[in-house]
Amino acid sequence: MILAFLGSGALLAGLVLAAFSALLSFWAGYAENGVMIQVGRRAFYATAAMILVAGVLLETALLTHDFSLAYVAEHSDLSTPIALVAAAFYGGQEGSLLYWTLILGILGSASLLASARIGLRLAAYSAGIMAAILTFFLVVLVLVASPFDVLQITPPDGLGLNPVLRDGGMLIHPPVVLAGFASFAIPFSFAAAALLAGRSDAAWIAHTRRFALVAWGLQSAGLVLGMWWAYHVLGWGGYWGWDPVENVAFMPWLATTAYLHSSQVQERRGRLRGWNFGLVMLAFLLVVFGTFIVRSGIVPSVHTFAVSAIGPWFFGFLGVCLLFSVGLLAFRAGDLKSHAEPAPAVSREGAFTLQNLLLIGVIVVVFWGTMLPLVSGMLGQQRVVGPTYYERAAGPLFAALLALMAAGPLVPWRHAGAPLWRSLRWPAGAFAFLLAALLVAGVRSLPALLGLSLALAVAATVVYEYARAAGRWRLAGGGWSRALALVMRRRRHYGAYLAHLGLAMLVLGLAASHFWQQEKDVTLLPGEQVAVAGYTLTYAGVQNRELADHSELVAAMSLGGQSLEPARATYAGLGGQSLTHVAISSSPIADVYVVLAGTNGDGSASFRIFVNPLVSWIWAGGAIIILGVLLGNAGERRVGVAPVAARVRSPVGAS
Amino acid sequence: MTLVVATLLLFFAGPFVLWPLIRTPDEGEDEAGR
Repeated sequence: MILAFLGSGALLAGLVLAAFSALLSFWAGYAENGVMIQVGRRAFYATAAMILVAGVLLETALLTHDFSLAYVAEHSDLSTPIALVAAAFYGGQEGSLLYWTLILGILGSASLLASARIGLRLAAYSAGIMAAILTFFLVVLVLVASPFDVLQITPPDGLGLNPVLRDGGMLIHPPVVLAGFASFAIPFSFAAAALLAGRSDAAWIAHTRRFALVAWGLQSAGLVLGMWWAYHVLGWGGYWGWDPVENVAFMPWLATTAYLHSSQVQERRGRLRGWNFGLVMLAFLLVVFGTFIVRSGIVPSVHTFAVSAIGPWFFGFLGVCLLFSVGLLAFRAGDLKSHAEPAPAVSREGAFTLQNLLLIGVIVVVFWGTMLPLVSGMLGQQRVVGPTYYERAAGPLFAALLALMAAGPLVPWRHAGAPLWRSLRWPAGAFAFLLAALLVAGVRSLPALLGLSLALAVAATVVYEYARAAGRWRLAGGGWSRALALVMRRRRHYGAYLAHLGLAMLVLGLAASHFWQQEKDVTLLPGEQVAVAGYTLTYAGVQNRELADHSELVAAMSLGGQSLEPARATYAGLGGQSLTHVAISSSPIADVYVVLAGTNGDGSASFRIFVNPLVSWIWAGGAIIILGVLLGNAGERRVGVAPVAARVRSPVGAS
Repeated sequence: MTLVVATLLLFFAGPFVLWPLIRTPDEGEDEAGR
């Protein structure tokens, strides 16, 4: 009970501090009052501290099973393993909002600490916008969805976490994807602050690039982890279902992917200034839109939280953010016109522009696929689109994007000449080689031929670039220290290529498992065998196991020397809810994926068996993308920032 | 009770938040922007 008062008190204090920080920062920025800007920033840090206190209190309540709190009683129980009880922090609506607010407070504070010398107005307005966003979240946490609401009667035990969430994936996927969502607010705040302050130069890009890359990296990891979790838990043999919640996490990722490329055009050539502001704002607006979709329950999805009162609040917030962003861009439209000479079509900037348009095209396809049930429902008859719509509409755009990924890194800035055509031999050769090999192997599906061959071409371009770097390294005399210096000098470049390589691997895995998945439904008696795609499985028999919070009916299978144990789990404490536990034998070539469909009185069991080629390449590709982000982010060099003395009239706080 | 806790927390946060207004100019020169 005491934890509830302390927690709600901390949230209320945080709300007061956030609102104070927002109002003071805007005023102090307008008045260019360095001392008050500092006070505004400190109020932001104090807000983050209050949210941290609230977070620690909620976690304490969960770990001490304080069922006087409604949130603890609804999302945990005495039998759930302790790690999952801790993870219930973000397992429900209120807790996940608190987690999101906490991440925004921490990352926002880090970004403000790192931006101490970017100019008075830019510093003040960015703090003001972040504090305003925090204020909104804290208003929701205090008034509508408090994790510290107290039950009138304290129950002896809680209801427990949803069985689907009782998995190791719960410990990594939600915190990463929620942190990704929260982190998009930081580039948005700095972009909007730059517009408010009338600073349309590349300084804000140089400052926020790291945070944009962090947001992109977190979202990449969140998406891949989500695919991995869906694949291991849901038991339908796939990992991506074009579910609205997957879509709304994918769209900000696409917008930020576009921004990470187009921002280079502004840094190098001074072009696309308005476009870059627009992309960063779009990414954040898509996050707010996604949050509204997920948390209001207006679109049917497997992920949505229970329908709650916070939908209208997020709808209002989305409206305010949209009006603010569009109004700001319109207000500064005159300053955002580029004075640089137009770029020729065949140039790096031309490739980035085309890539941006294709990514926007994918966003449009995904957006309308997600919104169709809502819009058609309003018009009378609700319609839902399936994976076929996305594959047909976005497939050609993805193919063109892969082709650009293969050719684009080899195209020089400003203009292309004969060396370009020579270097293009490598990706073109890889493409032609795999295309011919697949045709000879009898593959006739155009999407499969293009997807796999283009992914190999992307990988060939990366290998070619790394080979060129290795050549330079050998000419310079070789040695480990020189190799490290070479990589670190161009880490942004090599980090990006590593991410490209990871994406190529991921696409190879996606394409192979999508086009060549094999599936078989069988019912077997103990000792009987089944063969799927060359893999022979033998059914051993069924047994019952009692575990701490559930019982399992395990139907053991053997595959070579390996034992696979697909099972059905039943949670007696949750009204007998049952859940399938998939058994997967993974190798770099293919996964054998066994789902127990049911058991019969004669000892026989029914299975659905999938053989999914190259699925492990998806997870490996995801890990390589993250390595690329880490390398690209290691010790960032500032680009396009004028010397501090030239930009800052007086250091913040010196007045 | 919630209001009392919030007030106490704000009271304790006060010196940290308002420090730029409290300190003397000499003390603050090193702290630009923090």
